[in-house]
Amino acid sequence: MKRLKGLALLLAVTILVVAAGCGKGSTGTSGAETAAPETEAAAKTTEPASTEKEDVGTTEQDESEASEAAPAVEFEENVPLYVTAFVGRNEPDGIRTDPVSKYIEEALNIQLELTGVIESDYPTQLSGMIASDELPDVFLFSDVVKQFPMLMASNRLLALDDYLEPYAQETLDDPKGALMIEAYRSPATSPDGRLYLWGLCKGSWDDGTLPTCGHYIRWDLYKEAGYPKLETYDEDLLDVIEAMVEKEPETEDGQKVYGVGAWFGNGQDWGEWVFTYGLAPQQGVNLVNSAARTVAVSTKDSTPLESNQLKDPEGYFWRAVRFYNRANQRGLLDPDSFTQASDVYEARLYAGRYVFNVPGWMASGANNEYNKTDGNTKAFVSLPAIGSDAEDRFGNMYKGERAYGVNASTEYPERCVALLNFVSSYEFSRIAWNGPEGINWDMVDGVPVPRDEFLTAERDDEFTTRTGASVYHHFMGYGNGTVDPVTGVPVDLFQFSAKALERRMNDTIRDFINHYGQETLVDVYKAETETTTAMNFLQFGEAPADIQTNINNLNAFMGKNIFKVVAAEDDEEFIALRDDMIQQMAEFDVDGIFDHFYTEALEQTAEVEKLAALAGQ
Amino acid sequence: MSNFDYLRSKRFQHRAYLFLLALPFLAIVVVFSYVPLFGWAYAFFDFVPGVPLSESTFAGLKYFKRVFSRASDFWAVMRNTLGISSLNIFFSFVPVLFAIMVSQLHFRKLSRPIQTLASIPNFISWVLVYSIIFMLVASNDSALNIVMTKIGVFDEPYNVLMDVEKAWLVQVFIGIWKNTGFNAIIYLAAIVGIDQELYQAAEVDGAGTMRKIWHVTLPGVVPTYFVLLLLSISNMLSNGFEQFWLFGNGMTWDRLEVFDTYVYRLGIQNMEYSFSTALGIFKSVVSIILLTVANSSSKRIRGTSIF
Amino acid sequence: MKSSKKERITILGLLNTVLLLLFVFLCVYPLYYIFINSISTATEVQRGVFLFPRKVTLMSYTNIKNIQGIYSSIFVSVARTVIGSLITCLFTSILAYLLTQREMPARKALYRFVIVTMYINAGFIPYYLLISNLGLKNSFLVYILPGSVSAYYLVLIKTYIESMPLELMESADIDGAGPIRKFVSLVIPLGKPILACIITFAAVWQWNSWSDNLFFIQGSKGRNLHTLQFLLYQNLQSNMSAAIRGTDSAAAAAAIKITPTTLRMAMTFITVLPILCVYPFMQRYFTSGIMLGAVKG
Repeated sequence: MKRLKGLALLLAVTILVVAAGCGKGSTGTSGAETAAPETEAAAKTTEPASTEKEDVGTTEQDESEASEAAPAVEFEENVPLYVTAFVGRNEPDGIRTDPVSKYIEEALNIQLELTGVIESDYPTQLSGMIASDELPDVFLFSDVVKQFPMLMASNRLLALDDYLEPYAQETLDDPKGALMIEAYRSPATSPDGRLYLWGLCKGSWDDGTLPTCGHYIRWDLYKEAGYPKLETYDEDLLDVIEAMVEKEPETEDGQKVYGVGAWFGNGQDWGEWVFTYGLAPQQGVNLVNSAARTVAVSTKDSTPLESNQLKDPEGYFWRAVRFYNRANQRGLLDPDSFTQASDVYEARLYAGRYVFNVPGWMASGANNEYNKTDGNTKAFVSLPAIGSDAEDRFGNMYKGERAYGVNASTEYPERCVALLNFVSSYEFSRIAWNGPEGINWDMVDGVPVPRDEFLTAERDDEFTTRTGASVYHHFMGYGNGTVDPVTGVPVDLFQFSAKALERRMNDTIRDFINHYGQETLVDVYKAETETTTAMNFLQFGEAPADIQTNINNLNAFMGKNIFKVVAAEDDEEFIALRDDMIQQMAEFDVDGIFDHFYTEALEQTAEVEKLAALAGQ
Repeated sequence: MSNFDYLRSKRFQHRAYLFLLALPFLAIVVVFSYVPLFGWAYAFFDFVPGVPLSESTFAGLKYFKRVFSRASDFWAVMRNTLGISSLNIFFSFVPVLFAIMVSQLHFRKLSRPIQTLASIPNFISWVLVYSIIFMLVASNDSALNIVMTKIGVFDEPYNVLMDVEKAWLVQVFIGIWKNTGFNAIIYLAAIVGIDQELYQAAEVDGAGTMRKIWHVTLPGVVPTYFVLLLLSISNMLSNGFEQFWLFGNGMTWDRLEVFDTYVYRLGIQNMEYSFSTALGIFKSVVSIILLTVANSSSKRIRGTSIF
Repeated sequence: MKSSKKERITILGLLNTVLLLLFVFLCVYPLYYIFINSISTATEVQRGVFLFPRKVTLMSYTNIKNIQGIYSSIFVSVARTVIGSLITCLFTSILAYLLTQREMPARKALYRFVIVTMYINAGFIPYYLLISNLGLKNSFLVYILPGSVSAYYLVLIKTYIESMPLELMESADIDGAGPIRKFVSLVIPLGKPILACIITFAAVWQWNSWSDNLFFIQGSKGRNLHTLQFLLYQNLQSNMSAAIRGTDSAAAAAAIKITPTTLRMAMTFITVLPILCVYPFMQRYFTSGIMLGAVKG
């Protein structure tokens, strides 16, 4: 009895002590460190044993590499650097063991504490880190428009200007690097003209042959159908799709082939992707998402279109909606489109059930799938612009697709800038995509050539960790389709080297090239499309709160109604539903939204000209 | 003097001892649930993470007003939320029924396996539940549609996920399928706890199966059922996020947008911290009011209040 | 018990059995479906795999097996499940019991004070600050402490205790037994069904949690504290981003949601299986009475 009582009190006291002990940790910023000494010790004992062995082979190679690529500045002291980036999560966070990480660490004499971001959760995670002042030294922005003002308001961003000349000379010397820096210093982004953001993933994600959003059709069926007339998006394309389906009404294993599919099951946002990106970019225009797609900008010269796209029944947005409605009316649209999510869409595409497709990465995935069959002739090919003289094909991410910032209270600002500079080069980009030289690729007469086994390797975590290939997929200077001016080869050898393109070639693609009387795929597009280095130099910030509220509500309204318009049974119903929606948009002050962004765009004219001049346009 | 006596009295010592015993556990509740409530202050400021409140602009009730400002949308969300919750409450007897059916099983050896296996759906994530239902029931190529069109029950494939009219019911039934087996555990525990002598007494009185269920089993389960009923009434604003986010599609989204997805969409996805805090406070207040009302009406109707 | 074998089954009993078996089929088949799909190729899954696996491949399972640190994460997950659910059950039931004591000062107010926590949620940032200031980041305790007293379980336990035969309690009171003694010698044995229930609930919750890991265990310091569910979640996410490698912002923002369904199915199968294996052991306690023939005839 007594003992029980004592035990109970003991339990009570222990809990209080634990709670109090935890409370104490909170006074210092190092609370986390005091709480986890045991785990750290445990980590020390188990980790190196398992990882060191693998490294021996590769680090030796790195050393010779590193001495060549080492930046102008030598750092004597080895310091830890905490970096949060969108990188591969093939290994747990912390110190990575892959050869590319080792390569960076040696070049800059740092211990790279790397955290890979899960993009969907990162905004939440970042808000926590900002609030508790636990930002890493270098970190990713997942949404610059929203997160940049937040970090400026709390003074958490380091102005990088003073560190550029001593630690980032190479980027300043690189024309594309200089353009990126200038763009982030422009008044549309930076409140005081200083540099707070650093763009990575500049250049392009493709070489023009696999645009992110394009009109991909099964060329083998188009050929079989006798190359029917294809001059307009609104009319001909649907006829062509119908003719192609007639040629192959069923897949080999007896499943029904539809012309077109979609993933409206992801109704809340991403289901509308095909309306935003399914037509406009192919006609040289980009609908501005942050402006609720009211504003469209020409990719030729960054001028905003005068009409409000959401209200213009003949605008790019509504034409794309009408395309899917007509496809539905003609029985060409997979009826499951309304309820399926994108994974099902993708699986059906791979199974050969659609003859038309928009997302480029899915088209290339489908082609890879088809090529697994010997003597395959099935292939998706992206069409040159239909019925338009301009196209956003050879994308050029002059600001870099991903923005990173440096923590204002970092102990090692020099090292942070040096790191950003180091990963920004073409050379590092090639290493980031393919791993260090000598593992997956070799230099042959000044041209990087991938090894055969690299092109056929199963790319699992083990492979990625061993070779380092594409671990840093969104923490390097250039997107994988960007051509390195020194070697003349795109930085991603796995996808875009001559050898890789040859592997993907088949009779269908050759027929496509011949049809247009050209030598290579890239030539076809260059010959057919006028704008080859389309850039959008407009930079839109966050709208004032009341306009933002309207945008959010308008987006919600679109998500709830737009698919019903697609489902309209005839043209009459379509027009009635469409016009009704356009009318209801007034409730969300759709004109006010347009005016705000349109005015902002016009105000930037001078800035746009300046950047365009820098870009040499 | 008398105070001092009381302090030395056995009763006081006993009470103090009880309180002391409870203290550490109450401390945990305070630390993890009440301490973070300082964050409610964010709803009254233009809060930006990393900027101390002392330096933030005071916003007053701006964000609360916004909760109701876009009236049409907010009320549509409320209609869906309350409609679906009411249906859920209407069907809340199902786990009780299941528990009783299991307890009445003639082949007793089956009762454990049945109970185990029936809880499986609870362990399947909503993402997978969605794909399973799509592949098995909804899609044109689904097992159900293939069979039904073959035997001529359906003229053409029927996609239940596109049915706007039945959208609520469909979701409620999916929820029942997913949760019944697992939620029945608590009722099974209640049935096990029933004094065996009560059954024997009923048997002596010549009661049959149904009468025993009615007079002994049900009264044994009812306290638990009512507690859970009160909790689900007070939780009417929480239908859960994932289910509706995943199942809502282009056709049914205006019927399936519920409060939780609304908060996610407006507050979290758009990173509006003050606004989402305001929505959170609104939800807490409504829940506590519902709980109080339900509790006092339970007192009036059943004669006992639960909280 | 004694008479059950001799009894003949009534029509009602038969109907009952058939209905239950039908429901069980609806519950079991999806798991079977998940299994046969997880070992079929993705293309076959798209065609529909309903009865038997087609083109069997163990790729999804190999993928999981190769995740770095997967074995140590199983240990962490088991540890948090066992320790976490026991602590939750113990802490919550002690508090619930204390709140049933008539001598407990302000017990009604305290009970409400606890219940209210079910409805108040401060949001992520304040919670993050709290965990960070308590020093619980990168600590195993972050899995255990925050959920150690649960209002919901407390309500269930308290309701159960209050329905327990009072005479026993009172007779123990007469013996002069203290509250702890009574808790150990009365509540624990008599409350077995409810305690087993709570342990089951808490264990399933612990086993399936991963967001506390995501937000509070990071970097080298947390390397050995990752849970199985988190590693699976992370692997799924990186498989998605691998699928979209080489896209511009337009695509990347949206395409992150691409889901390798077969991989998800394999993951579900291997996390559900342990639950189904351990479950019957807990179940003993909350269905034993039924086995004893609670309701006869």
